[in-house]
Amino acid sequence: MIIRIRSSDLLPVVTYLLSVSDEFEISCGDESILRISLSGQRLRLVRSRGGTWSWCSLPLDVAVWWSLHFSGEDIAFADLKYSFAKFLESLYALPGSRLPIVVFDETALWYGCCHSLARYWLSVAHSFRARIQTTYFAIPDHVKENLVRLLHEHNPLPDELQVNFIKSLGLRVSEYLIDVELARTILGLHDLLNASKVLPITEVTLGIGVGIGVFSLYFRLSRAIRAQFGIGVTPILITSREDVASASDLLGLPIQLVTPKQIPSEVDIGFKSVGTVLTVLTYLLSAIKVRSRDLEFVMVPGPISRSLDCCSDPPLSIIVKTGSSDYLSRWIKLSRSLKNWLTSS
Amino acid sequence: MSSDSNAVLITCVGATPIVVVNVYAHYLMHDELRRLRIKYVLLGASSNTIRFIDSIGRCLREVATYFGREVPEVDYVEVDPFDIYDIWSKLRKRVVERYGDLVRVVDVTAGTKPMSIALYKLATDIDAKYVTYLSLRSREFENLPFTDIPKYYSNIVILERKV
Repeated sequence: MIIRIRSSDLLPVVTYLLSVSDEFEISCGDESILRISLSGQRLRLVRSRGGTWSWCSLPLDVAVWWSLHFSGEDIAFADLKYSFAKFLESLYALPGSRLPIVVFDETALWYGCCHSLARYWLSVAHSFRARIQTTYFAIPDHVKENLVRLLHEHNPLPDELQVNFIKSLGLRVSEYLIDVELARTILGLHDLLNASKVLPITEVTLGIGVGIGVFSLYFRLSRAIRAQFGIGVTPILITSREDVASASDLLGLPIQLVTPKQIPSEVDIGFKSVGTVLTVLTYLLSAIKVRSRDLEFVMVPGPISRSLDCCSDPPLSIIVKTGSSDYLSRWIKLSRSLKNWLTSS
Repeated sequence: MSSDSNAVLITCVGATPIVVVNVYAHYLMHDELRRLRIKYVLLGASSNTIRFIDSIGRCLREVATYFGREVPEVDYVEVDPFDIYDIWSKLRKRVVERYGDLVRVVDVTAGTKPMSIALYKLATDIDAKYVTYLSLRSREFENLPFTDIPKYYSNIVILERKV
């Protein structure tokens, strides 16, 4: 039995799984086991891989936030504007900090706000043009087309600002995928740097990391780039203090951060929510097998970028194998039906 | 309580009509309340919310079918949403006329504050077996169907229980 679900179905799927059991396990493709449990109002993710355990704990409302806001392409533009202004102010206030080149990888542009983010970034870049010379958008073609159209419709590009589109660097949110993608990513960045010979590049500010999972990937990538090219890379994290503390614990290293004081709390919640829900969803999307007390099914992910792109209906399927699978199918159907009524009434 | 207690669920319709559906669903999922056989849902609705009645009926049908339960019949009374006496008296009259021989249960979640107060007063007058309230921990969920609300965030509270 195959259930095809839309992005808006993921919330009822997670809700259903957690209603069946407070804890369920995902056997991932890399033979690690991810155990998802509900503790109070937080999701706790424990991952066992090769005899070692890692964990993180996430607020449960992330899925709700995602469901409510991810479908729009132009969310919270004003909030983003404020957030980025504060962000840049704080960044420039740091001694020795600079942004000679900014790379937006598709990962950074996924966060439910790619168009708003890109548009605002360009207006910020315009005002800081003495210090930001080039912006690279490394995004998939189908996002690029929309982005270019929107940029020209709503926010003509300043002449003096270079805007370039390069092939996606291929960063992925999923931790184990980065191992596969890392080589390609470094090669992509190498091409990028070669193409920018006019700039005396000694330091790259790479993307905007959101959430522990993404940040840890950027961190690892930074180290790899530094080792490979001798170029200093500054990963930047926009998230809450709580996540940073967790990330520090996770990585065992101090992290430069933009504190919640510098980011309005309501914006911080938005960023954090989207980042963390993507972490959860990516785990789900990349999972091969899901088991719970009375449920077993296989999730077949489409390309992740397509699955999470707000403009498309994701090609995500669930192949239900045994157990009370029929209830899940009907639960999704009921959810769709009730939401249809809500939107039509 | 026997498992075949025929009951009427009395509540009101407010600006977020999905609440009525969510309340009904929680009755069907609750360990104790699920033993009721809700044959009728009586709604107090304002002139603005009467338009939701048909849709609510369809949603209740879908929910009942999902849980394998008898589909309840929806009845309504038009009330002034800000007049406690009007709400109380009209619902009371309908209950006495049509549902006197059924178990009465009242939910005070949906609707205006006067509606909730009138429902509570009504519950006392008609000797309701249960008075309930669907509690949500976050306003983010107010307009979502129960299928999308993690269980931690919502639970039905039994405010009064007639032994």
